[in-house]
Amino acid sequence: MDTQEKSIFILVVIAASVLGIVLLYFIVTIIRQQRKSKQLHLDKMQAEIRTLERERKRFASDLHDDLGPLLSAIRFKINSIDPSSPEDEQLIADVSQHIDDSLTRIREIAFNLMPGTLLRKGLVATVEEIISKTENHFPFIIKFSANENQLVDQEKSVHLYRIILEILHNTIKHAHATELTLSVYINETTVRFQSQDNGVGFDPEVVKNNAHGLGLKNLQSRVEIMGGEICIESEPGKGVHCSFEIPL
Amino acid sequence: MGLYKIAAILGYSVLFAAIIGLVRFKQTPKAYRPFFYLVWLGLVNHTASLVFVHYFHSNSINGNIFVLLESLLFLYLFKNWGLFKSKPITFFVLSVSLIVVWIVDNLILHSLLSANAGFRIINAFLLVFLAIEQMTHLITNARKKPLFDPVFIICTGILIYFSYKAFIEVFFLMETNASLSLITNIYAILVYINCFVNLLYAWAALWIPRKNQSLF
Ligand SMILES: Nc1ncnc2c1ncn2[C@@H]1O[C@H](COP(=O)(O)OP(=O)(O)OP(=O)(O)O)[C@@H](O)[C@H]1O
Ligand SMILES: [Mg+2]
Repeated sequence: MDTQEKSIFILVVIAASVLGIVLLYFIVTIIRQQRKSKQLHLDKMQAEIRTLERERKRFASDLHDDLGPLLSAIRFKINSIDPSSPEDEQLIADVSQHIDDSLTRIREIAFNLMPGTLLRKGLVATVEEIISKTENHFPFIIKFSANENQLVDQEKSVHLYRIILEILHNTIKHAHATELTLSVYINETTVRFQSQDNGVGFDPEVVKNNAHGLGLKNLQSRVEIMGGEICIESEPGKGVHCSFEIPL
Repeated sequence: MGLYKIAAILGYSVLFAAIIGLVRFKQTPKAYRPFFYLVWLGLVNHTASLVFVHYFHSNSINGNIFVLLESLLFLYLFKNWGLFKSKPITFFVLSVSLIVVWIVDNLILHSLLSANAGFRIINAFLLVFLAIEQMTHLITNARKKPLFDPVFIICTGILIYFSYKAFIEVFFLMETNASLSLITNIYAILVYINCFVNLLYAWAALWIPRKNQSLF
């Protein structure tokens, strides 16, 4: 290279460096914006879920604490009527049976909306309660193992409860499984969760592209809101495995 | 060590990604197949270049064919990532135009035996634009950390490599009577960048998710 070409070369190197700096800045900006946008998304999800859960809790307590006692009072009053004929006696018995059924239904609905046990006795007790209810209705075994050395705060335990419920529902609805293993380990620093069923499984690529369900999406959002990362693994015929870890 | 030797050795940096691809090909989602083909094609092309240069003192033939296959595979990769989802016709239009431009540049206007800049410049600009487009999509859609997101890493690689490539090709289009040593010196920059990008691809290949895993 002669001197003129040398200066051309130096110019090229300078231009290349400038280009490099601009590119670097662009890439860093993308990374920053992505982080911001993800945080924004999570905040929005969290606000939505909070509102939802608050409403559910209000419905549940309205049903359970207002409507329940009211119905009980009605039943009490009806039962205290003195029947004048056998038909009336039969009618009163029927009505009070209806009221009993309604009371049971109201308790069930309230429990589904927001289980009282969850707030009083914690996650593990509630899940055990749900499982004992489910097992009578569905032909698969649920193996639940848990240790709860540490009480999780209410919001997190509601998240965890909904996650477990969704997995349970999916297993009932889609899996055709005979066994579902759930394990929750809670210690001072982390919650560790795993689930595995032995059902039909699914192809993640297919489900991802044309799933209309919200269940798994919500499940992922709840885990991300709690600061964890979820791993859902499945192959046709190999069941579904789900695991995550959340810092406390 | 001469520049040619350095280039020959650094070109093989694509081996890392190629080997990782070989190991992980079966476990990874189908959407990433074009990426592995690209890496392997890069390896084959580099070897072919060395052979052709040794026997014919020019790697133009394999280079010209490689750039066409490369650009079509990248286009297909972007399609698999959902870049053309809203307008599927774009993919078709772009592929056909690339092929037409290639034919005009390499068969009609010039010959396969010369290194033709026309197609390379258009292709480089196109890939840079598509990579930018894809990266801006990631801002709102990605859930993973960018440094471990294969789509992000591969786009970064494309962006870095092809913007330099466009720059250099345009430069030589202007500077027609550069001496051989100037040309070699300028291409040397591209050799180092290519090596760096190959390592980026290897890093990306490591983080491609397994196909039985899913994020929603
Ligand atoms: N345990 C499972 N076994 C087999 N397939 C499953 C299982 N869990 C989920 N799937 C598949 O994944 C898809 C998406 O599940 P997701 O929970 O997101 O939606 P959904 O259950 O269909 O609807 P939603 O939960 O909103 O009521 C399901 O349609 C089903 O094909
Ligand atoms: Mg579901």
